[in-house]
Amino acid sequence: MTSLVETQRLEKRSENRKLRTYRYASFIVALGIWEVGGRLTSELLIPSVTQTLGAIWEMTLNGDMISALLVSNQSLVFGVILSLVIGVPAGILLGRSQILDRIFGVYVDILVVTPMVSIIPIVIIVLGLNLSARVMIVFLFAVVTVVANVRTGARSVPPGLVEMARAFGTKSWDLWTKILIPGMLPALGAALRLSLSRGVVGMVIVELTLVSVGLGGLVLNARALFQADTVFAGTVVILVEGLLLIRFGRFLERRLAPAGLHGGAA
Amino acid sequence: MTQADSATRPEDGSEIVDGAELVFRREVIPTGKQRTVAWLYRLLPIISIVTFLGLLEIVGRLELSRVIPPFSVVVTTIFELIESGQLESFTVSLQALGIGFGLALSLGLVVGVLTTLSRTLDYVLEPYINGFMSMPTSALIPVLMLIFGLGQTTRVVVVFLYGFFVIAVNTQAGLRQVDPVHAEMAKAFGARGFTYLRTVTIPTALPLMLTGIRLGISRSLKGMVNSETIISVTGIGALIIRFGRSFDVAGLYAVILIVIVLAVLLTSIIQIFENRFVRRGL
Repeated sequence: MTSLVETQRLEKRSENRKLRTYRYASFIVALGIWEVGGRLTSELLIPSVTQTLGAIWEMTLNGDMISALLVSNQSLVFGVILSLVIGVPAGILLGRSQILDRIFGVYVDILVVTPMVSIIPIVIIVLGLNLSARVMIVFLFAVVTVVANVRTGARSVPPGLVEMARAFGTKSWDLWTKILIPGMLPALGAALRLSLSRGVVGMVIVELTLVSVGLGGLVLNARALFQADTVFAGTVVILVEGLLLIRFGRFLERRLAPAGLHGGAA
Repeated sequence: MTQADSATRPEDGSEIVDGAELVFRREVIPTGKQRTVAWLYRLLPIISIVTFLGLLEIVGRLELSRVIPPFSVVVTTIFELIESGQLESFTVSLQALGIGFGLALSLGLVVGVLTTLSRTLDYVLEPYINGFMSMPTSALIPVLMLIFGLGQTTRVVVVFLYGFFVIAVNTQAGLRQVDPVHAEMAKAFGARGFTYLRTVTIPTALPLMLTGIRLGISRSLKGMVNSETIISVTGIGALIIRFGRSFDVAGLYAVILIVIVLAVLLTSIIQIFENRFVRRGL
């Protein structure tokens, strides 16, 4: 005898299976459209899926892709680390000190909505067309988001908990290590993830505009030579790297978040 | 969903705690001195910006660094740019922004509603929406240039891609917030069709939808500038590249200032609606 609950569960399972089929089907259809479209149009404009994958494979074998990835990611690694080292303390300061936030917070608010590309030329005029300029740009792209997120996290530590800790005469060291920092952990996790995703954007944009090296440079050169398959290959690699980094960021975020403080009504 | 959350959070929570210590209790009549302090406090961001610009002016006049021109020179450069007609390409940029963002807004709302109504559609579209939200869209620009050419179409598509997904995700998140108890009660009192939308759905969903629209417009603007700097044929982005290549620092700052003012203006217009709506609340 199957109970009602069990039938419902079975129904739900079959519905989920149906949904999953739709999802994969849509993916295959999308790839199919790309493949057919690529074969119908000129090879100079849109290469098919197989041509793109072929180009990726070829470039991996001859080492072009690896060296481009290494060059690009150099700036990403340094820039993201720098953005966290500077952005996290700055965000905590702005979040915990109202007077500092009134004075400097407005710049964060403005920079969050400003298209950062517009300041790339200035960075390059100051630092030149080299690694330090690229690191600086990745840093600038990432740091604003880091500050904005950490600031919000630092503000939203439950005031009730802080109040209680103060009422029990907690020393300021303990207040930080036991209440404030654990309370900020979820926001720190989000900042980590967003710094990676903004950093990739900065890395790509600087390579596509003024310093054409690495993956962006690869794509730009290929575009100038009408090697569409290389353009697509480079783009796919950049996008996949971006998505993988965000996956990694989410993983780190989840590791940090449960360690945070819960509850504490204001 | 998580992406949308974290994207909206920074601006969302901020107003609540802001200045909590210095808000005077209503019953206590503040003395003259306290009132001045409160006013100064409120004006601090403006004072800070004015001081900053003043410092720029001084440093610029002292010619300490070639990348810091006096602020007054930057402002006069803007007028020179307007007079010499170099800013005319700006109208083309704005057109791309208008069309692209219009499409992003309308389609974003439609997709947001449809994915709320159909679970299947939501499940099928979710990986694409999530992927597009988090991946570096600017990397797609060279590919779009191959497909759509160097003209206005590419820019419109980029502006659209930048704005669309945030709007769709936030619309969906807003509509999902409708409280079943609330909905039940409205139905019990005979609210149907348009009345139901006006009294239940829209008031619940609008704050998040507006947040999505605000993030959408700021992202669309970024898309506009990014696509133009990468295509670098016309528009404000091409100006940025040209001034950068010729080391015309004053021109560069003039364009940056225009972009910043535009960005702040567009987002604050929506922010005003948002504040008014959230304050009135349900």
